[in-house]
Amino acid sequence: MSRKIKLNLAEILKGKIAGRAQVAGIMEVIPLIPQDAAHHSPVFAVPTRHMFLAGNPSYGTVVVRNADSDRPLIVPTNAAWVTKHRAQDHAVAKAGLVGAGGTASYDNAACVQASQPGAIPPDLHQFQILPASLRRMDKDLAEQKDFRKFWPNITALNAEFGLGTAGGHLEKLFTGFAKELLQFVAEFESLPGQVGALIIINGKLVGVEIAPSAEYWESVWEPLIRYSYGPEALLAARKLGPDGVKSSAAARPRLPETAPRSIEGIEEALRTLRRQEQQRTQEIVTKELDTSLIFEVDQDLTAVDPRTGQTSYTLASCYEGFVGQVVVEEDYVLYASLVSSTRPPKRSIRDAFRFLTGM
Amino acid sequence: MNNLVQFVGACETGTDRATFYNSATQQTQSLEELHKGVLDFDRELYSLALAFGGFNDYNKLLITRNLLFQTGYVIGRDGKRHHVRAGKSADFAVQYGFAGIEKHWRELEDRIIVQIVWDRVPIPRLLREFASWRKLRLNNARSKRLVLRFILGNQRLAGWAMRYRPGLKRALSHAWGDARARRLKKLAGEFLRDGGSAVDSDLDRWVFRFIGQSTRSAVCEAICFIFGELAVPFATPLFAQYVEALSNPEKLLGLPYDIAIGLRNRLHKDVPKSTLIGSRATQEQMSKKQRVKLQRSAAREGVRVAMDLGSQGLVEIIKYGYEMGFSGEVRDAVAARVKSDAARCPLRPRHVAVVIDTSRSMYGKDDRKLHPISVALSIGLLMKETAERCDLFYTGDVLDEFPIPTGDTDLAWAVLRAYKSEPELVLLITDGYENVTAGTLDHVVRALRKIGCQAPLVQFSPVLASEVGGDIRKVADSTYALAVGGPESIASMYAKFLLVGANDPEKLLALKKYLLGKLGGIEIPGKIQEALDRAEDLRLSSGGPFTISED
Repeated sequence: MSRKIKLNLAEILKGKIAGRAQVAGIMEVIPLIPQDAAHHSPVFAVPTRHMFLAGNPSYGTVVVRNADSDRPLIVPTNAAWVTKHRAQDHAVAKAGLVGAGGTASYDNAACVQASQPGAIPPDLHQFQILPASLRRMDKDLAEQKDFRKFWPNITALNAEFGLGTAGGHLEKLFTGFAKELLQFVAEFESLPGQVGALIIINGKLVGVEIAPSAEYWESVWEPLIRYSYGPEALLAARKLGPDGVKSSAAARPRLPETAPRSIEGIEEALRTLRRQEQQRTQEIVTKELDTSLIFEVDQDLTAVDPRTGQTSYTLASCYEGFVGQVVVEEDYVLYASLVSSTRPPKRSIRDAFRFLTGM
Repeated sequence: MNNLVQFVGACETGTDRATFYNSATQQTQSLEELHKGVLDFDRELYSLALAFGGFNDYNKLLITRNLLFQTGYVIGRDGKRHHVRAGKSADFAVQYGFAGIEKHWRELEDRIIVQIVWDRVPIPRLLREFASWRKLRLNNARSKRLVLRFILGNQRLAGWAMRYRPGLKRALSHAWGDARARRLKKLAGEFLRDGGSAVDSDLDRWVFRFIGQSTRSAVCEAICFIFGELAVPFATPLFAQYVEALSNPEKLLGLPYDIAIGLRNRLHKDVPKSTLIGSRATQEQMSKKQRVKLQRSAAREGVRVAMDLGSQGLVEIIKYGYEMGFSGEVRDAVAARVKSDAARCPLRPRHVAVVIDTSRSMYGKDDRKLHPISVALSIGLLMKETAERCDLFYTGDVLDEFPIPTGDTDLAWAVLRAYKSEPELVLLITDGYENVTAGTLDHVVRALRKIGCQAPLVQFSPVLASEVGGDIRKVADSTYALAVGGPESIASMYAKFLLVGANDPEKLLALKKYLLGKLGGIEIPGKIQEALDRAEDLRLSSGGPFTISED
């Protein structure tokens, strides 16, 4: 029987302060900043610089090498390598811990590009992160050793995006909606020192992302917002339809219709608006804070933290309520990548996008 | 043709490099679509658009490439579009109702390509462009003739040959063809060894025909040097010094820095780098860019590299300050440059409020880092100088005159503070992505209008967004939005509005006449001048939100 850890959202967010929400369309991002230096752990390698794809020895297996010889690496949850090479794109099924300068093989990884033969050549490839809806997987699927295991879900996702003939090709979703997905990167900016974010779509908390350091966060933020939560926001807009998107936006606090009579009046109205926006996002998050989540331990790793000496890190997975992984040091969560397990139903994307962004 | 204004804006700010938001490929595609649109609309206008000034090198070169290799159209007086073949001149006969002018237009187009673009673009950039033709398999008789005349007839050929040997070799080999290039190298060597008596007909046809005022032996020496034929008697001092430096390290001093450092690394490792960097003779051979690049490593070596900041544009000086620190010298250079740019700036508002977006995205991407904020600050500083009163506002908590962009984008608050200063005009310099909260600025502007604050809000964008078709992203419905690349863009701003009227063939002709008049520095063929003299004059009058004088 595997070891279990019980955590609620409040415990996961411990040591972080929520910044001012950034809002565009039906999506909101609340930046998370460490409350002090003690809650900032630059003791992990940075994926964009150190996460080498060292090999793809067989379909469904990827080997990751940590090129940082001093610090361990957290392989981000559901990291994917969608490359331009004539090779089968792959994604890992969970997160992973790799010791300093070490190598780890993941044989429960899977192909995200059906019917494309070839192995990805070893290199420091740019990585993506699977769309949130693909990340919602149960334990059986996550641990299943079958390189074709993601194809049905990718096919279904492509169909929801109107890419009926794309089948199990994730790259077709990324290229087919490149402009729309890019805009999500454009809309949301990282703050100095930011180490995480809460992602809210249509008034519901859909994602909790925490990185051990600001440097790590910088390296995962674009793949997360563009490839993971971007498709999620598009799907949600599709579900709402144009009228739903409009009414969702209208439900948010706004400047009063009865115009103030002076600039000072507008200033006051803007201050009130900011307060109301903050209260609203607080309410959305507060509702979820007590949600209890059960995590099953996948891996333990002992590494040297220059500040505290030998330190044990635990990687654990959750499959209900929120799906994803956390990395815990004693009782402090220093990495989390979790998506809510409620999935928006099907419906056409491009029209919805126009209403989502006003373009 | 509403996208003409968009096109001119794009030519000032758009490049093939990634922005904070868009990849290089996306940027390139949207720009190429814009160029093709204008080329298809009217080829002549497309070439004359270079008269606006302020276009960046990437777009200037894209225009010349399209003129040389793409088909296009001209709009005749009959209002119809007439096809023009690639590499051929525009069919002026159709437009002006008499035959025989085509060749004059072709001549003019050639002069625009060479004198307005190639002569003014840094040579490494130009050589990269020529190299791209090879990759894209672009070549025709006209392009070969222009390239050979430009390179072989150029008085700077010896200096270029020394510094940009691989680029020149690629360009010449592409123009001649690889086999002929090898033969011409051999013939040039024989010509020099025989003291100028061995003149092969191929040399005449492919080399001497294009050399203009240069001497035959100087050009043959350059060809030998470029193609690595060093066993010939060189009379050109730089070439002779290079050959001597192969065996004598003392001769490294005075060679161009990169050449000297290359030879030092390869053949004379015992010569300290600082000796080369610190040498006055070597410093005199450095390009402006090399001096900027070398500042930091020179400081580590305890050597000072003399820097002529005065010769750089305002945006470049600010970027240099970000790189090396805003010392007194840099601040003085900024102040001096602001004064000289202000003297030429036609935008002279009485009371302007400038709002500068200092959010994270204004940092730009790594290969063009701090470019957007540098453009924004340059406009702010310029307005401080030209306006009777100018108040600066920032979107974040800015304490420094030259802030590092960081944080989210709260435009509404900053614009509101700007309107509180009761200006006649508000300039908002932003990339257009508001996120605290998207749409708030639009509501605030509407509220301001309702209480009678009617001062126009003009958005200047230092970057383009490929996801909105290479256009700029407007932050509010009621704003005027323009792309700017720096103070030069402001100078040409008013002329851009003339482009809006280009749909009417009569106005189009008047616009061409106006642009031809602004080209400056090139001889206009008499027949074309004569034809355009019959067109009406464009009258520039003040209007819209700006108080502008033409000169």
